[in-house]
Amino acid sequence: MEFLGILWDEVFMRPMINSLTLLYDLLFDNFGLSIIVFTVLMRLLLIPLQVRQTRQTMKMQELQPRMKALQDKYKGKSREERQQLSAETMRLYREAGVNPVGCLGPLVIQMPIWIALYRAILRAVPPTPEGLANLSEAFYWWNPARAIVPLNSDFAGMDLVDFVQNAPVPLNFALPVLVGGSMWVQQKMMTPETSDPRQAQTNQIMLWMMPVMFGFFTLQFPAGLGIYILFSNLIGVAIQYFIGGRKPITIFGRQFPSQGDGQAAIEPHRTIEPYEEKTDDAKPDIRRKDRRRGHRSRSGHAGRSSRRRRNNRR
Amino acid sequence: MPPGPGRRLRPRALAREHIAIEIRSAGLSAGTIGGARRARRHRRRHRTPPETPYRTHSTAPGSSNFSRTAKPGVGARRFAVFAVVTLTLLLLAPACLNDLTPQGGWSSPVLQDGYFYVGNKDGRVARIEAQSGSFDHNWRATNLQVVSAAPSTGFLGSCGGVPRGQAIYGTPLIEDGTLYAAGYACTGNDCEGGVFAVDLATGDPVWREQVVNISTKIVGKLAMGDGTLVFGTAEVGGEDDPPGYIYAIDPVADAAVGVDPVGVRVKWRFAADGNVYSAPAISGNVAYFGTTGGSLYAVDLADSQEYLNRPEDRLLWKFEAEGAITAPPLIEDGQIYFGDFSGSFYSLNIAARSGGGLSGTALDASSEWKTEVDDWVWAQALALDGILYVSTLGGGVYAFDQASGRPLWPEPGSVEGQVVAQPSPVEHVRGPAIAVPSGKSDVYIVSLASGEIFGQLFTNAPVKSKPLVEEGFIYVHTEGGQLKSFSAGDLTERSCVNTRGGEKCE
Repeated sequence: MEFLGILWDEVFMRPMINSLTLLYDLLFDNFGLSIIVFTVLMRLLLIPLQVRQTRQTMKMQELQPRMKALQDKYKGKSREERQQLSAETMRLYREAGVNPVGCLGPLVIQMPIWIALYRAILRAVPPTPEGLANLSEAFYWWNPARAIVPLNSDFAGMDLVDFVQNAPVPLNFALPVLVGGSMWVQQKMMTPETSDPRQAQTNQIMLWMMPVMFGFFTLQFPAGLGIYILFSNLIGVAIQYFIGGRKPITIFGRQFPSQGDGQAAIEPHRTIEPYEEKTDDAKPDIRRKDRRRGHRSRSGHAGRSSRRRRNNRR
Repeated sequence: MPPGPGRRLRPRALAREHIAIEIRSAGLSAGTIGGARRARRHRRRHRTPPETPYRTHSTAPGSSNFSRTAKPGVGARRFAVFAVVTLTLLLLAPACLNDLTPQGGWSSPVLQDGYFYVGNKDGRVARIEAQSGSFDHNWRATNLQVVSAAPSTGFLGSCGGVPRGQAIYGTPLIEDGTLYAAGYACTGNDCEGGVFAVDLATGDPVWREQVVNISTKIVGKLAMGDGTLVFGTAEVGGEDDPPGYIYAIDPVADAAVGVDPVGVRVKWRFAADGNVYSAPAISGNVAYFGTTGGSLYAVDLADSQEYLNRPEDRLLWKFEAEGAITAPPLIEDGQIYFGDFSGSFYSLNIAARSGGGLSGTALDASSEWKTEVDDWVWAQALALDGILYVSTLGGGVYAFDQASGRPLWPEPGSVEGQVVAQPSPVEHVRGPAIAVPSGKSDVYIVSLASGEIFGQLFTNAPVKSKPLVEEGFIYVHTEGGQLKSFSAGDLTERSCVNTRGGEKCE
C-alpha cells in the first residue's frame, strides 16, 4: 500500500501540484487562471483519445442502417429472435471494432485526473497547518513557486479551495448548473445515434444521469475542481465540434451553431450502406468497405448507383 | 478450446467454456459475465439442466449461438450503472480524507506542580501526574472542549456533515494559577476557534462564558503581555479581508448576565496581511508576530485611549520578509530571530526598527543580518550561549553565530523528516546536544558541537511538538496523541500514556 501511495504521489500529485503552482507563479499569482490553463493543457494531452472516440462514434452512426435492417429482420418477440438479434448486433459491433459504451472512455480516463486534482487543489492551498507544512515536500527543488506559498485562492468572487456550496449566491448555483449543462452538451455530441432501442435507452440514461450527478457533486467539490470540469467540458465540446466534422448540435429543437451563423455545417462524408445479409462464410470486411466508401465519396454519387445495381443483381 | 461439433461437454464445464468464449469475443464483458453467472446460479439452485444452447453447440464460434446471453442493451445498462457507482464512490471518497481536518498533536507538554498539561487531539487539555504517568480524570477541565459544537454545513459539508477534528495545536499557557488554551474545529472549510481559561488546581472554567468562540482557526500558542491575552488567528468567519488577526483578550473582565460576554472579553483586534499561525513573541509592551503574508509586525499592546477606535495605529513597525512566516519569532538580547518560506533566516534589531528609519525589506547593515537555509522554516530557533540553532522542514539543522549569522558547522546537521517544533537542549553522555523532533518519526539527539547525530528517541510516530527535558528525562508528545517519556541517558522509553483517554499505550 505504501508503494501505491508513493506511486500516486509521484505520478499524479507532485506533477499536478507543481504544475498548478508554477502556472500560478507565471500567471500573475492567479489560481483560477492557473487551473484554467492547466485544464487546457490536460485537454490537449487527451486529444488523441477524443479523436479515437469520435471515430468510434462516427463508425457507430455508419452502422445504424445495418442495425435497423437487423431489427427489421428479427422484429418478432420470440426469445429465439431476440437472442438472434443480440448476437447479430454484437457481431456487427465486434467486426466494426465498435464499443457500444465507448463514449464513457474519456470520462473514465479523466476520473483519476479529477480525483488527483481534487487532492492537488487542497494540497496546493492547504486549509490546515499540517497541510501547509507537508506542502514543502511536494515541491520540486527547481519550482520557483515554493517561495510564494501560501497561494491566494480567490477567483471571481469564490474561494477555489472552499466547497462550491459555500460560494456566494448565485455562483454556488451557477457553477453546478454550468458543469451539468456543459457535460450534457458534450455527452450529447459524443453519444452515437442508435436504432437499437435498448442501446438508445442506455444512452439516454447516461446522457442525463452523468450531467445531473456531476452537477450535484460539484456542490461538494472545491470550486477549483468545478472550474476545471467546466472548462474541460467546454474545451471538449469545442474539440468535438471540430474533429467531429463541425456538425451542428440540436438542443431542444434548435441547431447550434445555426446555419446562418457564418459557419456552414459540414456534413461528414459518409454513405449509408443498406444491410446485406451475410452468411458465415461471407463475413463483411468492414475495413475494406470503409476504404471503398472513402474512395467513392470523393467521386460523388457514382458509388451509390453502382451499389444499387449490384444489389439488384443479387 | 471452443466446443465444436460432435464434442460433448458436461453442462457446467460447457457453461464455463461458454462464458470464457464470451469474455474473449464480446465487447460487454461485465454484463455478459453477470448474465452467465446468474444462469449458472439459477441452475445450481433449481437443479435444472442447462438450456439447449448450452448442451448442444453445433455451430462454430462466432455464430449466433455463442452469444445468447449477450444482450447489448442490458449489458450496457449494467456497465453504465457500474461506471456511475464507481465514479460516485471515487469522487466522494476524497471528501472524507483528512485534507480539511485539523489533526492537532502539536502541543508540547508543560510541567507545573507535579503535573503535565498538554493540549490533545480532542480539543481538550489533559492533566497527567508526572510521577505515576496516570491521567487525572478528576480534573474538571478534562471535559471542556475548545469548541462545544462544531459548525455544520449540512450533509454536503464534509463527509456527511460530521465535524471532523477538533484540536489544540498550541502549548497551554500557565499564568498565576490559571491555564489558558486555544484550538479550533472545522466542518469542511467552516472553522470555529475557542479560547478558555481554567483554574489550574480544580480545572473549573474561570470565565462565565467558559469558552470564547471566534469563527476562525487558532493555531499558535497564546501569549500574555501587560495583562492582556494575545493570540493570532486566520481570517474570521466569512469575511473576505483581512486574512488574519491578532486578538487581545481581557482575561479578567466578566460581563454581566445578559451582556455579550465575547464582546466584553475581546479588547481589540489588529488586522494582518495573512494567517497568523505562530505564537506572538512579547517583549516589553510590544507583541511581535509573523504572518503567512510574509510580514513581521510589531504591535503596541498598551491600553491607550488613542487606539480605541483605530487599532491599526497600534502598528509600531513592519518588516517584509521574502516568504511566509509561520515560525514564532525568538527574542534574545534586543534581536528578533525568525525564518520564512523562502529559506531565509533573519536577525532584526528591535532598537533600529523602533527608531522608524527602517521599513519594508531593508536591513540595517550594522545590527541586522540574513542568511539562507535549505527549506522552509517553521520551528522557532533556539539560542544557546551565543549560538542560534535553526531547523527546517527539509530536516536541516543549522548553527549560526548569533551576532553575525555565520554558519558554525562545516556541514549542517540533518534529520529525517520535517522539523516543525523548536528543539530542546539536552545533556547526552557524549556531550551537550539538542533534541530535534522529526515530523516523520522519532526525536533526534544532535550534537551542539558538530551537528552529528548522537542517537534517537524511537517514538514510532511523528513528533511536531517541542520535547520537554526535565530531571534526566525527555517527555515527548507525539502527533498521534501519546505522551512518552525517555531516559536522557540511554534514550530508552520509560512510559507512555494516551492523552485522549488516559490509558497506557500498548
